[in-house]
Amino acid sequence: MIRAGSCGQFEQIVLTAIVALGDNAYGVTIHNKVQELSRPKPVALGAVYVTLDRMEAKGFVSSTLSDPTPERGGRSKRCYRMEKAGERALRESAVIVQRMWDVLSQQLGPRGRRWRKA
Amino acid sequence: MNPEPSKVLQRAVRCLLPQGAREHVLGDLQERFVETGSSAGYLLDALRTLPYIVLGQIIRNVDGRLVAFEAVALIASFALYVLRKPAAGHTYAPAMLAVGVIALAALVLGDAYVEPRNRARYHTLRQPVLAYGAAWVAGLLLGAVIPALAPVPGIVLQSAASGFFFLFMGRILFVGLAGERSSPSAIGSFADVRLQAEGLKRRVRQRNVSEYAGVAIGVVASAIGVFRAHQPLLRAGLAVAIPGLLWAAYELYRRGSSRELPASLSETEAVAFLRSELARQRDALRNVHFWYLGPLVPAMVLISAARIAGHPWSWNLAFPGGSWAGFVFLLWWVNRRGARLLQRQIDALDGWEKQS
Repeated sequence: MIRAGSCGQFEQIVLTAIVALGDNAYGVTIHNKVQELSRPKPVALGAVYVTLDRMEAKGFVSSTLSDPTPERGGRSKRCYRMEKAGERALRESAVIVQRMWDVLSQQLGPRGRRWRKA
Repeated sequence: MNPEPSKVLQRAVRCLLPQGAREHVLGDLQERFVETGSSAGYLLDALRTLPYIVLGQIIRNVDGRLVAFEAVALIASFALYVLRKPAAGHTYAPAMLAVGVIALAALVLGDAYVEPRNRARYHTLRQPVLAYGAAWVAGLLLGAVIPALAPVPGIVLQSAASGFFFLFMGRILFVGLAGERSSPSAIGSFADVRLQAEGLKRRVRQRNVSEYAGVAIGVVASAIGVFRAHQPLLRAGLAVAIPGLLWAAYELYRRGSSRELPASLSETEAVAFLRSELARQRDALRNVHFWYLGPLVPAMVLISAARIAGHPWSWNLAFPGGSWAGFVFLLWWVNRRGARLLQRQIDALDGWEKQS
């Protein structure tokens, strides 16, 4: 049994992908979006599935099966939607990332030139 | 028309995938196949994804507390064997630990592959069979590789009786507790009332069919035992079991048979019908000690007495009597909890009726 709490980095990326995709968030599209967000690092489709399952157990997302479509061989999509707990966790993570970015901008300059050189 | 991987390939991948992930994962793999058009790519994609899917289904469908309990149950069953033959405990402990891990893995996978809502009644029985089957096969392989471990499959089989008992009882207990915590299905419309009535009828019918089958097996086994057993006390116990079982089956038919919701009923009549059915099943479960367990107690006492009679006292003899007592108590407890769940469904139905 998984308890809801903060979300890890990969979960943040998957949640962001779900938000970006809106009603069209299902396995393949989420994977494509996650790959786009985390490039150049490759991401396995299975890693997305297991993260979605974990986040569903935490109550961050919920899923429903869509109607079957012919382009998928008459099979349904499992469509995902972000829930309140997921939204809260993502917002908390975004605030922390923003704070980190503020500190880094102060120390390394707004464009982070010194950081990039290092 | 979109290209599709071969049917054989699709079927093979379908067999590998857990039940809860089949539909959408096969669809996703198909969508990715359309982009590449390569059967090898499809298979590779499926095989790469499979471990993650299984892990995801473990997260969704497996309860860590049940797994912890099952690990303890497996260790306890092996420990009971070691109590009887202490020398074996030292020699084969590492091998038994290894096959125990295999048995536990089989239990976890057995739960992960079947969605909780689709689990049949025999799932509780199937899981211990699966676990000990896997442990036995692992023992055989160990014995084939290391000849000194050849007795391991035998030890697995000898400890299976107590292991079955622990795992089966634990699962009944756990399912009872989980059911108590879950909230009754919400009723939002008249269609939900019909759905609940149909669900209740289906569940009751499934339960009764398996109970009648159990009674039939019990009667035949007891009748054979009456003629073959040597101990008079055991023969008496088995003879007493037959009318007890038949009485329980008759009472189950009288008190707990399933009834179909007539299609001609108005909404108010249908709600009243569902309430009366829930109340009838609740009362049957509430009084299970009187009409189901009670008639079987004399047979259990006689059979346990036959096991103890003529033996010098040892703790091993306490096991059959204790098992029966524990089993009866567990059945009573699970049924009482079932009755409370039905009462909550009745309350939910009343609440909805008042609101609407």
